[in-house]
Amino acid sequence: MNLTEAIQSIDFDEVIDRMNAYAFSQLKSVGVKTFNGKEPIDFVGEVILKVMEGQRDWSKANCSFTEFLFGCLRSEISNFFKTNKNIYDNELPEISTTDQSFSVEPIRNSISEILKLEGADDEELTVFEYWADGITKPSEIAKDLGISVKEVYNITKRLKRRLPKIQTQVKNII
Amino acid sequence: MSNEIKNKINDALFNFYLEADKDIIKDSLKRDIQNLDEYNKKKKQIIFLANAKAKQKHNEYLLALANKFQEAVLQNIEKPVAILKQLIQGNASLALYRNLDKLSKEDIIEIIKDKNLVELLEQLDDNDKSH
Repeated sequence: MNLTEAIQSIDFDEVIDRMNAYAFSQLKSVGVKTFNGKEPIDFVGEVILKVMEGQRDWSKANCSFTEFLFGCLRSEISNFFKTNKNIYDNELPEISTTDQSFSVEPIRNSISEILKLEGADDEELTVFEYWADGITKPSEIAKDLGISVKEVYNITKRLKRRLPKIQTQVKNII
Repeated sequence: MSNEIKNKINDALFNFYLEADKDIIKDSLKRDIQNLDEYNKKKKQIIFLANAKAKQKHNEYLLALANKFQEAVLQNIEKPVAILKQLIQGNASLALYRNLDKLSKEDIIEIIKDKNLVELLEQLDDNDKSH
């Protein structure tokens, strides 16, 4: 599938919304609103153009075009935070290559405790446990719990809002 | 260890934004974006530019391939000629192009335009390397 066909295969408008929302969430996780003055939509636009210009090679990708665009965005954001490490000391991690679960149980338990103290309910703690086990796809969590994916989205939304609040405390224990 | 935990949380958030319902994404954008008109305008520009770039890239590939094929036909290089013949044979609407010697660049573009250009270019490059 060439790039023109790839673009036609997706709802581009909607994918850009998704990418933008993801970029916003990554900025929030380090407590800023822009990429050194650049709006998330501008950052997303630059990533998309890199794909269209072949700087990020879609022809060798082994996934859907949406996943490819998202992967590029994630990688570009990670590079941005790495380059600006002096400004964002809580830089985002590189793309994970491991599927191991958290190997140190006390840390995992401590984060659960902090989440609980910050008001996380049982559902949020359960979803966090899945993440800690390396199960991070909402559809997989929903299937395992026997609930709808929409419910997992809603729980994740609540949990996601709590994460920036616990960041400092988590940093103190790891 | 800290990175391992961050990775898991980041994986989960990545999957959330990749898979979440349209409505959830729209809600989150409504909260985050202060000027929706400006945002939508920028989004339209990105889509326009992306389409234009993709088309430009496609045309560049087409032209590069057409040049390579034309050169190969002139020099009667076995593999590219065989590829071209195969493309013509596989499509009844291209029966007009049976005489390879008389193919213009435009004719070749017509023959290859709907094919997987990246794959064709790789096949030709492989052929170049083996010679």
